Amino acid sequence: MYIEKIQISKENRLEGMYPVAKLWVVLFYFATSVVLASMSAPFDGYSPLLYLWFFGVIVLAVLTGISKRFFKALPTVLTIFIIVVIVQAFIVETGDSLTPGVALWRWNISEGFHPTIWKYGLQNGLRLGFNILNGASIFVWLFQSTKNKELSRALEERGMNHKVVFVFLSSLEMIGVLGAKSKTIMNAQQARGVETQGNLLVRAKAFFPTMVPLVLGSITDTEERVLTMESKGFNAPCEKTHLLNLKKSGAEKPCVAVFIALFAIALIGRILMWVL
Amino acid sequence: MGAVIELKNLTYNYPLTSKPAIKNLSLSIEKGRFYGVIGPNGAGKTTLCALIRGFAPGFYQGELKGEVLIEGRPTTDYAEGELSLKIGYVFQNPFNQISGVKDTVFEEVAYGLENFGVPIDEIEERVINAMRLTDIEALAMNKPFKLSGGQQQRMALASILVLEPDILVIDEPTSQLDPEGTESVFKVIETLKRQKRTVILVEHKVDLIAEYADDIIVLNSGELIRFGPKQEILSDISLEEKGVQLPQYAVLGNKLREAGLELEYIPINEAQAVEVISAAMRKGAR
Amino acid sequence: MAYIELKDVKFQYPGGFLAVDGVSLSIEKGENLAIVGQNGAGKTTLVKLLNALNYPTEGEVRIGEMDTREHTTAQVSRVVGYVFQNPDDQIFHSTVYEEVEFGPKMLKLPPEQIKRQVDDALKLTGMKRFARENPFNLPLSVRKFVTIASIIAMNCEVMVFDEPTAGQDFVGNERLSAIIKELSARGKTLVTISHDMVFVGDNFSRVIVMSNKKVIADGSPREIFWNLPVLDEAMLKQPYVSRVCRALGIDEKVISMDEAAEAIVRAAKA
Repeated sequence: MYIEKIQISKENRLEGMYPVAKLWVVLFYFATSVVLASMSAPFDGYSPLLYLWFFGVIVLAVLTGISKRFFKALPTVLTIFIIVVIVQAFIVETGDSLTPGVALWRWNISEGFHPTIWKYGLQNGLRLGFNILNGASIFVWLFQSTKNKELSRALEERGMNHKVVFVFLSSLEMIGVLGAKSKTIMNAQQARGVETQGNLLVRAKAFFPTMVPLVLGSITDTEERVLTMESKGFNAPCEKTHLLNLKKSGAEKPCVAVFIALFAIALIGRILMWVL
Repeated sequence: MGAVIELKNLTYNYPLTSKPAIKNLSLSIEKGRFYGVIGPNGAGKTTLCALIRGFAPGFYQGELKGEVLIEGRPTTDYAEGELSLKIGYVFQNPFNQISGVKDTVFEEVAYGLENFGVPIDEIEERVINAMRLTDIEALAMNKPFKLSGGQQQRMALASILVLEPDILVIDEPTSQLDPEGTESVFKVIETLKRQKRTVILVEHKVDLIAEYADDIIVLNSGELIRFGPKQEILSDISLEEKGVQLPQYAVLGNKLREAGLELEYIPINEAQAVEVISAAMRKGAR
Repeated sequence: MAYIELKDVKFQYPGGFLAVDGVSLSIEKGENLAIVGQNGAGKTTLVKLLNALNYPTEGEVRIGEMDTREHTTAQVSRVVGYVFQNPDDQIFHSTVYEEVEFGPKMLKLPPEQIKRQVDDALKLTGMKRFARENPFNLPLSVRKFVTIASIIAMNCEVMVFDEPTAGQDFVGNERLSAIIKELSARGKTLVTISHDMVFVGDNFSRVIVMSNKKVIADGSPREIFWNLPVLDEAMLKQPYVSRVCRALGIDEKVISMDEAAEAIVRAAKA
């Protein structure tokens, strides 16, 4: 009965897709994003199709039934997007030194200081920013809809070495553990007079006292971990049993097909642009 | 007779060290007995365990003279993984024994069986038995990292017991636990004792060793300084000079003898202490 | 007013978990006290309030003139030293000497004074012979003394020890007793968390029992170890010798080995 309980069952068929199918979705979504990014000639250098494509992942997340978790993770990605766009728009004047930059907006604050939004920079920033946004968001979708152990189990089923899969999975799990540990270490150092709050210089000074125990501690812990794994037969040279068995939800083929089709359409569109 | 482990003239150096961690040690471990290993820190207790399990020199490298025989075969002869089924090993730090790749206690305990390719229908029953033995079945669906120290250590015990090893080596299982956690681990150890398993237990809490062990192995600076039945060894006050902690009852018993009270023998646990001291008090009163 | 004052202190973790629920406590300068209780009783959370690792969510904590809420942990650390349970959470230098020197250096003391305090701390903890060693080549139980030395070297008025006896052997325990005795003789205020009732009975003049986020008893070791309902509530046990005397029907409140031997001999003669 426990073995039944630990199996993964999801109501939503998109969420329940076999992880490898999700990886294909990630691949084709991102490839489409790259193709759309290059379709800028008819639009005065902008890539509106790329921008619209961002709604693709949003629709996907909503249909997958994970919108809450998805939107919670989104602000981080959006921050990066905004920074990229602003930096590029203000700094990059032109693509080459021969063409003069086109200013879209200029603030004449003083004689020598007049921040300018450059058309080329804005286009470039939007292109780069949306590619990052799309790429990161589709990964957010993947990880929010897939448990780590599902993904690693699928990779193992596809013939990946069990040691590699172990490293992958345990690293993901260890992030939380290390976070908690670094908090304890920070406390221990604060208790002997190390300031950890304040300006950048103060924080930089606290870097060594926190990092060294964290790293050394992880190394000493590793010894016991390795021997424990050995005690549990990690290296036993036999065929392993798997309690967790993944099922397909049935949505794999149609879903991947949709993304391949969209990619194909984008590609054909791109080729037509060349030819015509 | 019936020796499952034989250590013959062992001398072992960790890599890059000149002082041997174990010096000229010979010992034989019999089936179905419970051994308590005691001695000051740095005496070589953990090294002894590592040698028995083949981690030294297997994992640690280093230089080994002499032989470690498990059921008559040297540890170095065993194939990878094979020793894990003969000797179960439980470590000090419960946290480090969590694989980190399993979401539930059930799966964590089952991990070794998966690795050894045990058929699925056999796994469930064996895991349930191991969880019952260690009193963690109620936690079966909990996350391993969320358990208390005592619960984690019992899970570590379960993950090893599930492999049904002939011999168990347990290295200071309670040094990082509070009294409640310690007691819960010792309850499991008591069960192991009742089941007549072969157990080698390193433990500082000598009053607990006095309860459960049959024989005591005393190490000091890498040497075997005493080996024998617990009653004889744990009552020997001269060991205190070598930095070996004796049970409080034995210390009390020795003090009372010094003070002129005629104790029939030196007690090593509470029941003995009450019995032998009250007998002596009645005599004293007479 | 006492040197350390906790007034109706409550502490709630950011997640909402209440770990200390209404504790009031006065500790005089130079007192030497132990805090006992099961894990989860709130002991560690409580002592972290003393050095501003935690700030009270209600009530106040005063050390001398200082209200901890008005200071950072690093500032309070000049007055309250804290030895963590796991030495590996703080050691980061490649020699024992440098590790111990770090605290006094952070206090920006004059070099001669630093040297004096470091030497003193190394001598007191028995770490002098390891001064040039890399702490990571020493066993864990010895590393613990390195961290104790590094707090002693800061020469704080108050020192907090979180389970110093964990993983220590006979010799280590004796050395800890000697350190506590000496610091106490120097007039330091010491607060020690311990699970080891024998150690508590032998080394402290005042014992505070915590259970379920509250202080449920506060008294001399003798009062505490013979207050059986309190021990029950806190799920603690009497020291072994007290238990034996009780079982023998000896009518004296014994808490140490020597007392037990004397009491038994007296009873036998009677």
